[in-house]
This record gives sequence, C-alpha cells and structure tokens, in this order.
Amino acid sequence: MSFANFSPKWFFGFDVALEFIFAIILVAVALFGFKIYKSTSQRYIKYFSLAFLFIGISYIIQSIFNYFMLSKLNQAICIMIKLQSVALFNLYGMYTHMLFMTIGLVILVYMSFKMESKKPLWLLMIISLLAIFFSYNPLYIFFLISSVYLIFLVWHFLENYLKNKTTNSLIITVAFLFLFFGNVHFAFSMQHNIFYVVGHILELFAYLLILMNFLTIKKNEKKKRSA
Amino acid sequence: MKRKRDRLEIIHDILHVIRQKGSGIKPTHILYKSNLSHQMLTDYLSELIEKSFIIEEVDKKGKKFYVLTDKGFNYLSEYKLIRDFADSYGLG
Repeated sequence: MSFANFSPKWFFGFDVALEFIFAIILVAVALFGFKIYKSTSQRYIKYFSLAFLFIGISYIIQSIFNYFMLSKLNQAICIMIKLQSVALFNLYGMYTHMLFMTIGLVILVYMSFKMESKKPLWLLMIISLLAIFFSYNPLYIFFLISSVYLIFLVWHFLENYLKNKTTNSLIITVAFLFLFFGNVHFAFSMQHNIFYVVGHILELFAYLLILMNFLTIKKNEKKKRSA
Repeated sequence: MKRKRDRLEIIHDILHVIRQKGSGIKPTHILYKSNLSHQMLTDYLSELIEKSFIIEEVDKKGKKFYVLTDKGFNYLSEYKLIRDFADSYGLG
C-alpha cells in the first residue's frame, strides 16, 4: 500500500509535483531558521528549524515513492535490491514518510510548549511512533495523531497572533489551519479518493501562505540592507 | 501599558545598552538601563557570555566590564529580521 493508492488516476503526477513543492518551501524555511539560530543561539528556533526540516524530508520521501509508483520504477528497484514484493517497497516508503512527519510535528508541538525539560519531547515521540507503527491501521492512526498535533499548533499560532497582532502571525495561523483541514481530508481519502485531491489543494494553500510569509521577511531584510 | 518583553527583546536591549557605551560598560550601568532585576541580569549576562554575544573583561582596578563581540553586533544588525521571523511563529 502507498499514499498514491488513494489518488484518482487523473491526479497521478500532480501529487508528486505538489509534494516536491511543499518540500522545497519547508526546507527553505528550515535553512533560513538555522541561519537565524546561528545569530541568536535560541533553542526554540533550532527546534523549529529541525521540525520543518524533518517535515520537508517526509514530503521528499512521499514524492519520490509516489513517483516510483507512477513510473513503475518501484518494480525495477525491487529487482535491483532483491526485494520480493513491490507492495513491501511501497510500504517502506509510506512508513518512512510517516516517521519523518511525526517526528517533525512532535518537535513543533514540543517547541510550542516552551518547556525546559526534554522529557515531554521523548515521551510524545515514543508514544506517537508506538501508536502508529503497532496499530492494525497505521495510516488512519497517523492521520488522527497528526490532526491532534496540528490542532494544538493552530492553538499555539492563534495565541501568538492574539499576543503580537501582526499580519505575519495571522498568515501562519491560517496556514496551519489549512494544514489541519488538509490532514483531515487525507484521513477520509481511504474512503473516497477525491479527499486526497482536496487534501493536497488545502496543503498547497497552506504552504503558499508559509512561502508568502517567508518572502515578506526576506524582502524586509533586503530593504533594510539597501537603506 | 507596555507588554512584557520576551527573551529576544531582552537580549536586544542588553546588547543595545552595551553597544551604546562603545568602549565597555559596567554591570551596574547595564542594570540601570536595561530595566531588569539583578538576578535576571546576572542570568542573562552569563548566557550572553556563554553564547559569545559579549565578553567579560577586567580593568586595571579589577572592575568587570562587558564588550560586544562580532556575534553581538550581528544580532543587533539582524534584530528586525529575527523579530519578524520569531513573531511569525511565536519563537520569542
């Protein structure tokens, strides 16, 4: 089984492209975050950047495995690595995507708690991964758990917006709200594949908002340097 | 009523005070200008030394004073960018 199983045939390829775009945006923001961390040495910024990097990698993995399935390259790779089943290869891709995405979301949620101790981080990580990987329906549990994390993140960003009242913080709150609704749609895509498409579109809106915020901050940096 | 300063803002205010002095500043002067309690200032100064934003030196009379490093100057020049990024994601 793979994520692409939930895609309508006409959407094949579009999902690969969209996931790749999401990955580029996330990695760009993560690298920028690491640059800010270098200037500030503030650990929450490091966690944030790490989280975005993990989530970006999860989309790269998803995009690659979906492309393998679309192009039938997965069969050739299975022969090359002497793997008996293509379904098993697709499953590895799915589990790797879920692993990186879960780690990224857990780190983001932990960062939002602003706690000194690392114990809650490890606890959330272990519980989430055990629940997903030892479940009879790992995909469904993955979407459920990630939806819970995303709603907590929406809560955090909403509180941040109410505190700061800046346009940028509002953009990020709305972006994560789109991510939450997108994730919910993916959970339903196992029943009907149109939800897979809707989920991708909602994620596209979310990541375009994140990109818009990132470009605005970069533009202000350039304006300041030229002044 | 002015809102409570977050960590990034407090660091900015301390570094700004040190930069304003130019040649090095004593802890008591930072205390008056930064609007922090003695304990908080001590904690922040330790953190800023540990993270190489400032260095602690001793004058001929044996009195401590603080000077900005390149990293400290860099923080101040990039503060707007840091602020925008941190405010977007609640990283303050």
